[in-house]
Amino acid sequence: MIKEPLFRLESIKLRHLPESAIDLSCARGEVIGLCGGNGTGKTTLLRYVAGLDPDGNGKFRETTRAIQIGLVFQHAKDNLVFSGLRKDVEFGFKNLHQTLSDEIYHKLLSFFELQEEETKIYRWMSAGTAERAALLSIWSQKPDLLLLDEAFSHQDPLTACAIFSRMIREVKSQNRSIIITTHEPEILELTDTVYRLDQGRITPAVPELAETGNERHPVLNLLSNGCFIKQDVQIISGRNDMVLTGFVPKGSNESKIQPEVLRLEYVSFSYPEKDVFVRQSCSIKKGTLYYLSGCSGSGKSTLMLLMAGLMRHKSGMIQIADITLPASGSKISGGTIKEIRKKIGFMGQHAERQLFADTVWEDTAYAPKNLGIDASGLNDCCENALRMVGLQENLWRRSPFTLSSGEKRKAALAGIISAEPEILLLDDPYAEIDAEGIVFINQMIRNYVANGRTVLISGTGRLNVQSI
Amino acid sequence: MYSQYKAGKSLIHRIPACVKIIGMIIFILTGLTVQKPVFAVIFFCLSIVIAIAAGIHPKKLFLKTRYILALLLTGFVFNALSRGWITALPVFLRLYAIVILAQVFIFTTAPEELMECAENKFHVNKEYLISIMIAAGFLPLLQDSFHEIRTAQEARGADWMHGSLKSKIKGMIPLLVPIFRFTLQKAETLGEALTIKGYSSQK
Repeated sequence: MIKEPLFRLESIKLRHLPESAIDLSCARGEVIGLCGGNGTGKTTLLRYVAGLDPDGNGKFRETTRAIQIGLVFQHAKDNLVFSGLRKDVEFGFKNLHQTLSDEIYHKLLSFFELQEEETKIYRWMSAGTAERAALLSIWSQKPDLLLLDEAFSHQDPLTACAIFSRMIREVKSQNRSIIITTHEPEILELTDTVYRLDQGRITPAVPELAETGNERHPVLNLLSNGCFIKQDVQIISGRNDMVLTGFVPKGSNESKIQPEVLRLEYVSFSYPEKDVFVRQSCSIKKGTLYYLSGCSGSGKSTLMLLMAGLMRHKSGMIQIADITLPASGSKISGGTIKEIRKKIGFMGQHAERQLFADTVWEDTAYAPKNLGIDASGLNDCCENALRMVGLQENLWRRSPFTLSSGEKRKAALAGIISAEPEILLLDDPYAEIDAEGIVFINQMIRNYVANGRTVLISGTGRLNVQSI
Repeated sequence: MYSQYKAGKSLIHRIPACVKIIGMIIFILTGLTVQKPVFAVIFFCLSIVIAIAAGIHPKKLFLKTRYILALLLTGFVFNALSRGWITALPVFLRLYAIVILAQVFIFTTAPEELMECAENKFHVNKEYLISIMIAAGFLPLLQDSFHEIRTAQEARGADWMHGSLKSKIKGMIPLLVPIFRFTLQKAETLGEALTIKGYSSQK
C-alpha cells in the first residue's frame, strides 16, 4: 500500500551545521525514530520542521507549513505556559476553538498515567511526571505530526514503552505521524523506521544496532560486565518504595566489610502539605556503587539532596563520615558545611544550568577552587575530570554555552568530580546522554569506585537482579 | 500571587470568584461607611470568622499580616494620642479587617479562577489576562530555578555568607549568570510554547 506522503525535506542545511544536507520524508501514519549522538542536530532538525528555527540559509520551513505540528520540547517544563496542567490543556483546546470536557480530560490523564497528579501544579511535579504532563498537553491537540524531542528520557522503560505504544496505536488509527528523537533502544524498536543523524546526513539505521548495541538499561551495562558483585539491598519508603542496591567491585576483597561513610537514621522529611520520608534509615559504605531505583515522584531527588546536606531533614540523624548533620532548625558552622561539600559531590537533574564561566575549563575549576585545592593541584584535577567524562580537548577552552545539551551535561559532571568528592551522588545521570557518553560515564563511575570512593546513582529503571 | 493560593475545600473556597469579589467590595464599603464604633468591632470579628471558615489558622493569619499590622498599629498609636483611643480603635479595627479579608481572598481564590471570572463576567481584554497569567506564572519558575542553581553551586562549595564585600559580590557571578541565561531562555521558549500550542495574538 502506498502511503500518502505528509512532507518531504530535500537537502536542507541546518542552522549551526553548515555541512549538513538533510533528506527526510514522512508518510501519513508513519512513526519515525531519529537517533544520533549528542550535538548532531536532532533538536535543530525538529525545530526546523516545527517552524521555530530557520534553516542554515535563514529560511523557515516551507514544506510543512500546511500541516498542524505539535512539538514536545526536550525539557518538559518548557512546554508549560500556565502553572496548572488543566489550564494548559484548556488553553490548547481554546486555540483550536474547542472546549475541554471533564470526560476527555480524565481520559487523557489515564492515557498518560497522570490520574494522581491531576491537581498538582507543574512546579511540584518530579521530572518524570512533568514529562508526561508535557506530552499530554501537546498530544491533546491532536496534531497531524507530533515531534517528540527525547520525550521519555525520565521514564522507566516499562512506562515509556507502554505509553509510547498506546500513542502509536492511536496515531496510526487516525493516520497521523510521529517523529521521535531518542537514545533509548526500547523506544526506537517501536518505531516503523529508524534514521541516524550523523555529520549532517540522515541514514537509515537498524534499531538493534542503533545505539548501545543492546537493549539494556545503562546501569545494567555498567554492572553486568562481571566487574561488580551485589552486596546489599535496602528499602527506603518515600512516597513510594525505593530500592537501594549496593555493589562492590570484583576482586576488592568482597567479603571484607567496608567502613560506613554515610548513614541516615530515622530521618523524616516533608514538603509543605506532604510527607516524603517518615523515619527512614539507610547506610552507605565506602568503595561501593549504589543504585537507587524507584518510580518517578517517589522522592529519589529529595533523598539525595538530604544526603548531600543541601536540604535539611526535619528530624532524625544524618552522619557523614565523622560529621553529624543536625536536623533543620539547628545551625551548622561554615567550616562543617565546607567539610561536607568536600566529601560529597552532587549532580542534579538540570546540572547543565550550573554552568556559568567563560570557558569549560574555568567552570570545571570552580569547585576545586572553592574547596581549597591549591593552584598546583588544580590543573590536574580539571584535566582528570574532563578526560573522565569524555569531553574532547578542543572543547575545553570553549564557552560552555556553545555546547550541545549532552556535552553541557558532561561539562557539568566534570565540574562536580573535579573536586574529587569521596561520595558522588548522581541524580538520573543518563538522561539525554548518547551511547558514547554512557560508555564514558560508566567508565568514569567504574574508575571512581575502584579508587575506593562511593557513587550513588538514581534512576527509574528497575534492576532485574538475577541478570547480573 | 501564585504561591499564596492554597487549594482547599472550605465553604469560602467553594464560593465562585466573582461572588467573592463583589461580596468583598460590598463588605468593605459597608465597613468603611457605617460610622458606629460597635459596628467596627462586629466587622472585625466577622472578618476573623470568615478567615477561620476558610481554614486559615489565626496564628498564620497574624504571621502573614504582621508587617502591615505593625504599620497599622503605628498609625493607631498616633491617632490615639491625638484624638483619643475611642476614635482610633474603630479605625484600626476596620482597616485591619479589610487586610484580613484581602488575605482570605488571595488564600482561597485560584488565580485561574479569578482570570476566568475577569474574562467572562467583567469582560476584561483576553490579551491582557493571558499576559498577566504568564507573568504571574513566570515568577515562581524563576524562584525555583534560582533555588536549583543555588543548590548546585553550593554543592560545588560556593559560599555566599563569608568573605569581604568584594568577594561576596564576585561570588554572586556563578549564581547570576545562569539565572539571567535561564530567564532569557525561558522567555524565548515560553513564546515558542505559545506558538506550538496554536496561540496567535492576531486572532
